[in-house]
Amino acid sequence: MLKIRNLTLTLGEKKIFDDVSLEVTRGEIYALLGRNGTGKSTLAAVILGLIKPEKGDIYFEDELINDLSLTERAKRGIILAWQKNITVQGLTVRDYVRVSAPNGISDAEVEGHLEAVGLSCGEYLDRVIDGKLSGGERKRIELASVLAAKPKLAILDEPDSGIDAVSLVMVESAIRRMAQDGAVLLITHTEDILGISTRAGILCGARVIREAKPDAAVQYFKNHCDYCETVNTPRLDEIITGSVNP
Amino acid sequence: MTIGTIDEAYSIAGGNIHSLHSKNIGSLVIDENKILSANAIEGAVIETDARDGELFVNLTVKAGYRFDDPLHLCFGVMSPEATQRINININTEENSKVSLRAHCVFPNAVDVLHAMEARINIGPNSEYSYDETHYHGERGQVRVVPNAKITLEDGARLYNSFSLIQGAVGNMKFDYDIDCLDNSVCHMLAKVYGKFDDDITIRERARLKGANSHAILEARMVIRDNARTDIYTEIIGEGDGARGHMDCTEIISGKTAYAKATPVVVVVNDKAKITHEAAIGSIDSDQLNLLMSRGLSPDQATEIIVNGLLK
Ligand SMILES: Nc1ncnc2c1ncn2[C@@H]1O[C@H](COP(=O)(O)OP(=O)(O)O)[C@@H](O)[C@H]1O
Ligand SMILES: [Mg+2]
Repeated sequence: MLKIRNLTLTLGEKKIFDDVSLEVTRGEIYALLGRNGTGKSTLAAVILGLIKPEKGDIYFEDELINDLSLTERAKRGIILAWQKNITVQGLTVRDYVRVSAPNGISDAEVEGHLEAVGLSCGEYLDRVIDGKLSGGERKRIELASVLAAKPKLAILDEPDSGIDAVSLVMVESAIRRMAQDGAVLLITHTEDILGISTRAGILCGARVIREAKPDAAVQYFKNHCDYCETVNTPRLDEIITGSVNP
Repeated sequence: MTIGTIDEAYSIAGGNIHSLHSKNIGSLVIDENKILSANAIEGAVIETDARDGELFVNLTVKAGYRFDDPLHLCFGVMSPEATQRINININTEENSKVSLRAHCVFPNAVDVLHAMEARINIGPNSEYSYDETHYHGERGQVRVVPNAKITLEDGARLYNSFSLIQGAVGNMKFDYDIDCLDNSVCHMLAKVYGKFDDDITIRERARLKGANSHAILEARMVIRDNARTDIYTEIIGEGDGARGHMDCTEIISGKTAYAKATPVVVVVNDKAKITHEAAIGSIDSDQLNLLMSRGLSPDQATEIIVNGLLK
């Protein structure tokens, strides 16, 4: 569904991506794990077209989308749940979920999406989205709006941060449903939400290290990734093929 | 297109015509310097007089009368060229409560001057809210010059909202002076969308004379084309425990628009505290990106952000 090929990007002095390739296929929840500052959100911005890489191609459903605008990419079905809270003054929860569905949405659907992430409509529908809402509430509103956008590829940037254990169960099942209708790129710096992923990759030292199983990725992440800033970490596929020693 | 009747103009500006014609709803309708109708209701006395090209209006809300439904005012000028001078006294007596919904409509203006001199006295523990919506036609060939002297007596509350979002503004120059006595609360909000050659000047001074008096002076503006805004707000903290805040948010677009905000803080009592915030800039790119990442075009996203600010 999504293919990133040979992505290279330097921001300021820092090499963020060094020839990164990554593929997310239909039906999967691909978890991208990485420490703070490794470039996970930057990768989301590149997929959306907000940051232009020095090198590399992005394909979505076999179409080269390098030159598509942010709006066009969203219309193709690439939808991001943003990591940071962005406030548009005066917008209520209802307004926000509605604008996220440019092709129209019924009131019942708006309510359905809020309930799906554990937000009761009576309490939230007409609330203005601002700093009075907690981090966990805002995360869930963001996810409800992504549901409303009916993504083919949902990119979820740290969707679990600030969310309590009870709500997390609902959020996880909402994410699973997104994958049924398309695919999910799940960005996280913790292992907490990795249980729902079908595959995990680690972003480390400007490279993506791929693992077939999330468990093994976590193991590798814990053991090696604290040193990534200083050690030029080899790719896991290189380790597996024996071309380098870890 | 010429707007024929004041009713028509009133509804274009967002008014509900029914409220101007119902016996049970207090209302006052003015075209130029003529009273078209005045409907007083028990507890709200309206006196009017027209002389020397000026219209005099006295509105008194009697002590203890508390109205839950708003009274409706319509100040209109239907002809393209005219001068409207209104001299208005508003007095809300002790423990009364009233909200006024005013529409000022100059839909056909080519050269219209609307001048208002207002003296407003909000009596002890009374609550007064004034919600004013203007419509100056699509080109805004109007000069609007309202001056007001407002006093909030002990425990009085004032909420004043001004909005001019549809059509253009023209030349508008506000000058409001507000005195706040003990325990009074004053909130002024102005929302304006300036375009073309609109020239908007707002001067608001709140003097927090009384102990524990509060004032918020808030402006939200969107300007483009050659429009200019000059927002001067000043709060003077005199009373013990006086609290004041000024907030000005403006979105500016285009190379020739001009926006200036001057918040002035004066504190003469170490138990008073006054703060201010002003932000003028182009549309926030994070907000644009957020909305465009849901499939909206740049124009659609801009419209949502602008409407949100002026809501
Ligand atoms: N516009 C920019 N210019 C320079 N450096 C940037 C810019 N944006 C992000 N960075 C840097 O890129 C790195 C990756 O950031 P980010 O993608 O937000 O990390 P993550 O999401 O993995 O925590 C960080 O070191 C950050 O400071
Ligand atoms: Mg991030």
